[in-house]
Amino acid sequence: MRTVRIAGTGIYTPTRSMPTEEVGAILGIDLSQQIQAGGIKVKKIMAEDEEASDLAVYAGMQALKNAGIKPSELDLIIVSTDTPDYISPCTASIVQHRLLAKNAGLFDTNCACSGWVTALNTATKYIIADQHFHKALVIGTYAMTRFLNWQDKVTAPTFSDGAGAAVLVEDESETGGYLGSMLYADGYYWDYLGVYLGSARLPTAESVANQEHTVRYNQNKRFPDVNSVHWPRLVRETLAQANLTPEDADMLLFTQVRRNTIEGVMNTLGLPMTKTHNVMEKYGYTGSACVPMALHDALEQDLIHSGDVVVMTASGGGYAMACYAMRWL
Amino acid sequence: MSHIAGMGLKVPDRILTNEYFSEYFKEDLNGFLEGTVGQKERHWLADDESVVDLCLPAAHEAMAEAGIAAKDLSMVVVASDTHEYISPPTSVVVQGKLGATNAMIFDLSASCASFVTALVTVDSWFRSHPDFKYALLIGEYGMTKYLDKDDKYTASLFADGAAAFVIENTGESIIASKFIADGTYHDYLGVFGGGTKYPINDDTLAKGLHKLRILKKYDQNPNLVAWPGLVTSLMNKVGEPLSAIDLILFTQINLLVIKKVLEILGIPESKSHWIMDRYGYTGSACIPMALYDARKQGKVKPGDLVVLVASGAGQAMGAVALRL
Repeated sequence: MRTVRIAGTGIYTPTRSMPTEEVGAILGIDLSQQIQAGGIKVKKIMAEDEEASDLAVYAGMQALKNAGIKPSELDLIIVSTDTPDYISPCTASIVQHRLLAKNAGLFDTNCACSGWVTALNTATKYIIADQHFHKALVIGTYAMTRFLNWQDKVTAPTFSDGAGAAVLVEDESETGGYLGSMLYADGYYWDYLGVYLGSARLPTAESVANQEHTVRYNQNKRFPDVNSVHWPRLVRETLAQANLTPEDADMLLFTQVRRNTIEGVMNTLGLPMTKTHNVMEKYGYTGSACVPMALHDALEQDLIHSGDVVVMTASGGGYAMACYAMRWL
Repeated sequence: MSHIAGMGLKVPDRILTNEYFSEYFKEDLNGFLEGTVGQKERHWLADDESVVDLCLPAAHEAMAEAGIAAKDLSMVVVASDTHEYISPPTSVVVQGKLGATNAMIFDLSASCASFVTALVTVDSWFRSHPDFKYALLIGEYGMTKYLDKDDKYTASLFADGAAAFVIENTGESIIASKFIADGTYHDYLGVFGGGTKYPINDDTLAKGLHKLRILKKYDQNPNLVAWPGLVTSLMNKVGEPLSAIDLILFTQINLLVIKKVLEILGIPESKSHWIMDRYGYTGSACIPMALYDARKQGKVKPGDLVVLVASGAGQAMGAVALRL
């Protein structure tokens, strides 16, 4: 049966690092409890002259190298980001140019921090649906520090920059590959958190002075803990599509925004913490890049093997959630 | 195949004629606007309107024709490069405001090729999800928000609009699709400020980089170069001759180029359709708007072989063949 496998992964994390504690000290707040519970010990900040496409290209090059695939072999490049280089054209066109992937079609997708899992799913659908698509590069890149209000006590310590990528290739395996996926969205929350620049709100000197071009949250609307509610359900329903249960899963990766949420979800699923892998401690919170960064790190540490059931679950502002399961080939 | 079960179109109320621009720039622009690109008038968003204001009525019209409710949708996809916000995506705002609580969402951006690319993407999702019955796919364009109103060329050319399709999953695929892209053109035309390369600050605003800019000029018209080959290779994939096409629609940027491409392909002008005379250039919305208009004028009927050909800055091109 026509299916897909991940042939290689890559990441990029900026060289500039700042302990989260230090960010707290600058802001005059004690973040020790938050660091203890959430696990984000560090802030990774891209250089002044770096942009989202740089992070994407580095991660993409490493993924291609690990997959043993030349850029010219790619049929498709999907970049998932809500921190693109430009408003238009899309970041994928810059990546295609810089990788010299001249045979690849391209587009960006945006569903905030759930974007990479949805983009991986989209590439899966393309390869399964159309035999003319053989190899796709799927990149999540996150450059949210460029939209930060460094005086804001909530967002300033939280967001980091980084990128993660995977090369997805066709496979005729009878024993593995794509198992299933679930998606869920609730646009009721669209005005809770975001970077509200665009056709609805154009930047002016006045709005910039008011920091309205930065990532902002609604002071009067607190996001309920939707991850704890929906992640266990999405994992169960995704695995059920392949007649599997959470006990059958070998590695579960989640959006790296709060470690204690992940602990709670693993507990709800009745699974030990050894079956998940977190990278927020060393890479910070990297939005649409964090799931492929965690996947790459788990592979580097030899935590995923052929035949393993891998489940990736992501959440993004607005909000949108995506869950994707594959048996590793 | 994926069947278009409903269509909707919405443009802003405000109309600007060629005469308006000739007067504003104190120069007769009608020769270029009508004679070359084919435009007579276009619609612009008001100061207090944005793209979601176009998406919602277009979506309601499409859902009404399809006879479905928002809760029947499994996907809401917005195709554009002129979004409501940087984050969250426009699709999640639309999903929330429509109450399409059973729908997954994403935005897709490949500049003006976004809609055709997204149509193929929705069709690909349907193949793996027989449980998905309906998708709402919206092509929207709010580029006038990003215009430098004193730049003669771009200010008069670009316009706003949206069209929405309800796509029904019938279990069969779109007939064929073909993409070509060349990222070496990524820094030619775009809205370069406001992202991570030129973040919004006093310098970016002073330089006007948050507006639509043409930084480099093409040596030759890329559509004239690429479209004939793109259509031919698409029809090779379909396995039918060019004469089998009942309707072919192109990105509505330049009427003379469209006519030239039709001539090269040997396809009569009667088998194409254009809307830039009434709607100006509406980027990622222009192809679904043109199909909506062609059907309304009785130029296309169920069962017809329709080819959609789109080009976007950056550059990305996509073509798709489908049965209506």
